[in-house]
Amino acid sequence: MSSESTATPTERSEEPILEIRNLEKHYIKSTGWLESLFADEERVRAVDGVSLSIEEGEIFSVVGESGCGKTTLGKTLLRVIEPTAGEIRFKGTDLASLSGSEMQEMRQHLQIVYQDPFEALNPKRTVRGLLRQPMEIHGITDDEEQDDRIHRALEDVNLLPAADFLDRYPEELSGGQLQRVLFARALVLDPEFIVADEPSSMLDASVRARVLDLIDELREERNISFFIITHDIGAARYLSDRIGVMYLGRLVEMGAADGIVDDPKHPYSKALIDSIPSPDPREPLGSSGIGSEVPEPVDLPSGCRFHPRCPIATEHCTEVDPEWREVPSADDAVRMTECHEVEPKQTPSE
Amino acid sequence: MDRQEGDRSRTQDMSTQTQERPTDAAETLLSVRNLSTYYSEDEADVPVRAVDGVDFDIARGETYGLVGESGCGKSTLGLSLIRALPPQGDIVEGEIRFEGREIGQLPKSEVKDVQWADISMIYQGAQNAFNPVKTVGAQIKEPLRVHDVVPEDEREGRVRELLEKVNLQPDVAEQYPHELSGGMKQRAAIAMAIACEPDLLIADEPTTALDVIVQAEVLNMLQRLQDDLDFGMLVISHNLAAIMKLSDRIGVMYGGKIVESAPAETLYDAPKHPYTALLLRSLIDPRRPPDQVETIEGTPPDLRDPPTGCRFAERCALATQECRDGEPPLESVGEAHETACFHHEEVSEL
Repeated sequence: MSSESTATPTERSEEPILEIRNLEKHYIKSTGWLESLFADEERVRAVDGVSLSIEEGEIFSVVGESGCGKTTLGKTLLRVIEPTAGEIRFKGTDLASLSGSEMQEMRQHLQIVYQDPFEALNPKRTVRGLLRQPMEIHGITDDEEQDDRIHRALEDVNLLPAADFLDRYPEELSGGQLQRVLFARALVLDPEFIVADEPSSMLDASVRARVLDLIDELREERNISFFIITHDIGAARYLSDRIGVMYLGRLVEMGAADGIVDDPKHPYSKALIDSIPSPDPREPLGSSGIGSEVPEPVDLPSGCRFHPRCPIATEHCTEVDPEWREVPSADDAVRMTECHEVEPKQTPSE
Repeated sequence: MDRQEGDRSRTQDMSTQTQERPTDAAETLLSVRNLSTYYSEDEADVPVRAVDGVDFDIARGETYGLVGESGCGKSTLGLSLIRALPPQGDIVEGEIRFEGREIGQLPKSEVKDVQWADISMIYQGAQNAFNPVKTVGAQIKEPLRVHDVVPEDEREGRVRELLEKVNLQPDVAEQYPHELSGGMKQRAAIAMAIACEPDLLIADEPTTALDVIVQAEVLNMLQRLQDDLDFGMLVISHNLAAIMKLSDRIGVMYGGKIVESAPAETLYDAPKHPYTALLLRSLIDPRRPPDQVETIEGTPPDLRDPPTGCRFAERCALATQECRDGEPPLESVGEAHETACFHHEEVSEL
């Protein structure tokens, strides 16, 4: 994103709960030492300059193809993996400046829920043991306090009556129940911000809705803000206030959830949405029109990084990086995109 | 050549297509009667009745979609048809007639003649099923060699042709699986499945775990290949939206049984089984998001000890004592429309 000296239009008057500026996570691709003597190291730009801010109590979803960097972004913004550059402010505190132990303490407020409940939970521990573990790590060792938190968390994720679940092992629970145990495990620490990676993608449609509604309830009842990583655009729209569309390490569009799906501005957002089949059998199968091969974020093309797949790219797009700017939107919400072919919003002062 | 046939069965008005629906006995490709497949570890074990008395037909060139939640028996049904059940699985009853020949009880030695050549399958997770140390070309060549469908010196060329059919560069033949993206591997799996020009292609969750753009590509590709090659297709998926698009007819499976079957449009417009109705309401079409997505409360029945009556009764708002006492038979409720529900007339009021 272009670093703007003025506040971005996504900022409202109150302080956002989480704010990132020009966040980058680059990896050096490992090559053999011999190879490294002769070739320049390859830099994988998994997250390559992302700025956004999330309001308190907001549900923000980031969508995009596998390999677009959305999971890396989610982990980087909690410093589960260390950023290469950029700023992360949680309620005003710069997380990047915190020491290891300070960050550890801070992590109570910032939780991450991983996508595969079958993999993320130790099969040898009971639900009680699984929920105790994060509290032990964070020094909440009083038995009564632990039990209180466990009961409240299980109630909040609707595993009721809580007592019935305490002594069960993961294999005795359904996929939907396991997913809720994962959320409960985050809740025992009473977090203010949760990153959820594909919270509904492993679940059948019939239980998916329950997990989506759960996230909404947690926002309502505990005032938790969510950053959701998903490729399920239906779920993202149903649940979120805003959606960000990510491509090769960058946000290419961001705006109100309804607006992004109904009236996408960036050609990549359009392609993503056009490829979703509608359930009506009379409507034709969707098609993205852009081919399915996502380039690796190593040798990035010059100009706009989407231009090799873009159906409307011009000569200009192959040479000049598009600017992240506000564009007009029918829904009156702030819409940001980076595309030369989308006219910027005219501000009265210009 | 078959484009027209396909289009006709899709678009024709229900009332006029009676004679032309490809379910005429003369054109029947596959006919399954009272099929039951159970799993058990050993003789003493209480078997899991994964498939429990299933009837259905697939006509030449027709696509039959099988939809249902995880554990409903749909994959087991597919594996039974191609006789590729794991060692614990057994066809305990019923008939599988393929082109008039009973194949359900064929000895193992003869099963090999049927697999790939007559019936082939894109297995669930096929993109991860390639042998990592063999080139993609060598693996696609394997069924060609086993069934000797093309002379040895022409096999190389045939592999290249097959790769082109699925929009892959011919030189992918020389690459190893890890060099391909998930979408490319799935297309290579499709190339392998059509290598011996089967009459029936079974696709088990062909789009699961793929990004929306790749999903759309795979679905379009299956439809195009079927139009070109005129194979019958059984598509198994929990993705109701995708299956609605691809299929001429749909069977809804619940607890080891087909509980409703109808042409896709009929099923979409007027489901006659409460389970189908709820499944449809659990979908989120991102372009027309519902205010509230339906969740199906409760859990599927234990297939070691299924209930006496209707297997859905425990989760069903319409259920009465009648439903708990006896099992509703699959009965005709309209043109090519069958359902197994005593209360099918009330489903529209659900």
